[in-house]
Amino acid sequence: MGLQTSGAISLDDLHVEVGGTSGTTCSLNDPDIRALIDVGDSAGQSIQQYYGKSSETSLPTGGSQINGQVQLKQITASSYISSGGTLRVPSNMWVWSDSRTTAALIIDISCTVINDGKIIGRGGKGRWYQGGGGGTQNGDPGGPAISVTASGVTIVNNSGAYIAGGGGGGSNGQDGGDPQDQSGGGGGGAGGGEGGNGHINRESAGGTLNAIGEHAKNLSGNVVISNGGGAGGGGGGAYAYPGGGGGRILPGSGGVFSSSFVWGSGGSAGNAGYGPGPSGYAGGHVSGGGGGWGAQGGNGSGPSYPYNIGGAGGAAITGVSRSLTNNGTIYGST
Amino acid sequence: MSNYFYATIPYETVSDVEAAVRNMKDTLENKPTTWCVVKPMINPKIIPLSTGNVVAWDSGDPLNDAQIKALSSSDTVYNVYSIQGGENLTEVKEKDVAAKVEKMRKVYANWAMVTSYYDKQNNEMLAVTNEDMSGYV
Repeated sequence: MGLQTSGAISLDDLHVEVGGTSGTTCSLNDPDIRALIDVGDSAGQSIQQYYGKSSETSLPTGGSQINGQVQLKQITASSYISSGGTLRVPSNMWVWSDSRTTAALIIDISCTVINDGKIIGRGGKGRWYQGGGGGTQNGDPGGPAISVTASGVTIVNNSGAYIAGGGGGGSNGQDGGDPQDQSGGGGGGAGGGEGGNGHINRESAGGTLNAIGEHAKNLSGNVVISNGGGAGGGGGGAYAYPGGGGGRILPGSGGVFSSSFVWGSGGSAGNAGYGPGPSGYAGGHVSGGGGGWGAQGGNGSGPSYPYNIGGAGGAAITGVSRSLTNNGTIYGST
Repeated sequence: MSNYFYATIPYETVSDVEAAVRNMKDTLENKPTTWCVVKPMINPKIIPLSTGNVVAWDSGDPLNDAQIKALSSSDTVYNVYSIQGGENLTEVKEKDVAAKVEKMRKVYANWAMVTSYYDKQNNEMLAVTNEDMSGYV
């Protein structure tokens, strides 16, 4: 958490800051205490040098990269620090999730987390063809970025940093019972949500880190039907087309169905996905676009209410009450 | 029998749709919790960091519709979140909350397509005519 910035600091304060047990023996020349102010063995010190210092731990940046991006997937705070410590997410790092039900960062101990990077949840999958009207037509919800499971947690989101829940998937476009229907698939939500397959069996992949989602194509794979988005993917249209994949670009723009349709557009960051609304038009079966970061997916067509609503956006931070300071950008509930 | 759809809900007659439009207008004017969450930020505390001090806040309970509409210009700051759009704003001054809520209303109104309804039999979208909803999108 850090030492105070003025007034008296005791040797015991320093010891506790570095994880020692209060009331036990220590000295200013202990390596972990000297490390707070980065001085060598037996070097001169003054107590004022310790004002505001902390035993901060930065997440390691030397691991494998994805698409040239420094990253860690689905991590837990206690794997890096002890209770009472401070964990920093470096500015060039993505902490991300590939599961709609698992947060990118789980904070399971009392601690302070300082985010200089990007912490993102998984996007919801656009709803896919159900084979003639059975089951829900809603888009899948997005996943959370941070889940807090312990008390005494403080989160600091610094300038330039992002905490973003996944976008909800767009709803299917579906005519509600005709086994020969030509449903379009919903667009994937921001955070790598897959675009749902339409009546033709072709799904669109979500984007990897710092990339847009896959464009949805016809069955031959040679014509782009719906654009993948940097945030939410565009929804599929009539004639059974799939939706575009959601991307993982921050902040990112949404994909659109095509240049000649306004239906089924994926949401940009800070915006919901859009769809044809309460029911079909332009031939029906038109699906909703994926939601932008932390946003709801668009509603698909089809008289199958209430089963064609866009998926809800994922939370930015969920779980046990915590303190927050934000000078960066947050998408999703807190 | 569902002949028409408005804002994701089916209706039998145009008269039913028009009643739903009136209800939607009332929602857009008076029920902001439909599209946003407004929470006071409370218990500020100074957190000393190696890069300087920051102020961290706890969240109070979400305000209800009447409380949101009654906000004025106290020193309290708020967290304002768009349910449909995902935008999450912190430390919003009380005097600025209304403008943020109205901006988020537009996201909701577009998402729900409040200016038109669908005629299933004729497979066409029709403009809402019994109320002027154009100011919400």
